[in-house]
Amino acid sequence: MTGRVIKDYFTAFRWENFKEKVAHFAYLMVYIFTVLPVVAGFFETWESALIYVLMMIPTIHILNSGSLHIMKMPKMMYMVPLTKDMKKEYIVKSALFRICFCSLLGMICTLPLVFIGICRVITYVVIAYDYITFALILCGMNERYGIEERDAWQEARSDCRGLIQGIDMIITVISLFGIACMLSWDANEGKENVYENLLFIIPAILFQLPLTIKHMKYWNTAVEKALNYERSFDK
Amino acid sequence: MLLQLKDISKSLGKFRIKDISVELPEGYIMGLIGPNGSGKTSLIHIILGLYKANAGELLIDGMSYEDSEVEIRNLIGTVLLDELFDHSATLKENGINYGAYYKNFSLETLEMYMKRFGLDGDRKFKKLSKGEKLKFQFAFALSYEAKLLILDEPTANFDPSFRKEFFAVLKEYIADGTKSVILSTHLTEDLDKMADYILYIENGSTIFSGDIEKLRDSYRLLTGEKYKINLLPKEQVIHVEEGNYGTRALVNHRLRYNYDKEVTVAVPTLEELMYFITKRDKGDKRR
Repeated sequence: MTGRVIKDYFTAFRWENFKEKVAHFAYLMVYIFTVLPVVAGFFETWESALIYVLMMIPTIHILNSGSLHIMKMPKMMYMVPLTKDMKKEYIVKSALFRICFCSLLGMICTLPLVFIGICRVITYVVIAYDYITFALILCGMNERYGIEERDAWQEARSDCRGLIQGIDMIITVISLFGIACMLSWDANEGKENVYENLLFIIPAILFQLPLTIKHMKYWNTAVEKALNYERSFDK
Repeated sequence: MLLQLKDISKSLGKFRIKDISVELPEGYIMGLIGPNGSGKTSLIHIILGLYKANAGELLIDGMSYEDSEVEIRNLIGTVLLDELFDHSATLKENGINYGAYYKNFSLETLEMYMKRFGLDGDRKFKKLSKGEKLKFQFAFALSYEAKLLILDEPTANFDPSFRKEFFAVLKEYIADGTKSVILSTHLTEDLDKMADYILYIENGSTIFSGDIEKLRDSYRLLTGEKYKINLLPKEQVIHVEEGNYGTRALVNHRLRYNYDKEVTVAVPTLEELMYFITKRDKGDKRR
């Protein structure tokens, strides 16, 4: 089952799937790699450009993974003779793999910043925390942010999961971008910015953690929903 | 009895499947017919256990999904219009990957059918045409000794020569008298020749369910002068249509009923039945 889970994760990254969201993807790439860094001055020195690119690559991966890997099985898996436990195992393992892979990618990509001396260990811990949170809310039980454009706000009225996920996602993106800014200032000006660090760490701890915990409370509901073909495909 | 549906009901938004009952014994083909949006695919999804009925009882080979889902899924072969297989994998890889879940899967049988249907096992699924994708689903469904084949409108996507082959395979499939087929199709001409049972649904309700011979005995298509047709008892007439060469009417047939000698009486084809009944339900009764 684990092999199948890993294979399914990577085979989802195919053109047919991106094609459906090409406008969204193109907008994201243009915005993240041209507008945003130019406005924020990330490309002024090689150090700040490196920081930005290393932080944004996993961020984009998580965003794409969140849009490609919905918390449900491939259609054929609902047809084959699997017990409910086996289906559950597939769904849970898929979600855990997504979370672990996306978090690790973020941590691995940004680790060189510590060795280069641009990023302090404490900042790196916050970065790692951000990636884990981001992967949890976006790739773990992402039944809202999917290829099938759903009326998240409408659904949010009934169970508020969409709302929590949306707020959490926005906070995480702001937090990641803030850390990139902070490191970039460090690299450009060499200043010790402990207070600025705290400025980003405190909101992260104060808002992200409870929101993520609140969001993860719906884990079992999301798994049960993914077990049901009707609720996963034909709502 | 291989399939038993008893008073199956299901709400799907505003649409509702209402009290559908049908039985299909081993060794027969059942045609599932009805106009677009009549609920054929939804009913198939219920039989496949993908939708859970709100009321009623569904038994496959005497088992229910609640108690024996794995056993039932080993018995069912499907061809759906959805693209079920992995796009990036070859046909053979798809067969091996998904076949592994089935108790009686045989790669040799799959390859035999792929060869028979002109499919190259080394081609990627995404490279196939719509018809070829359905052919592969069909080959896969035949590769694990399924007892009940459920086919959702595959024939419209097959070329005429393969359609013949398709029906030949179905005949072979049911020949031993232990397997059955449910075939949903718009091409009722094929069902006229092949089907033993018909389930005709419209707006989620059963119009007719049972033996095709009984269906043929239940209706007659009359052609003749308008005034002659108008003389028929109103409650007997389903729908009347005026054409260039006389008036046609579908009527409920009564045994030993004496039709006017100047009226041509014929057994309607399934297509004619569907046409006239659909017209009636649209309130298009021209008299």
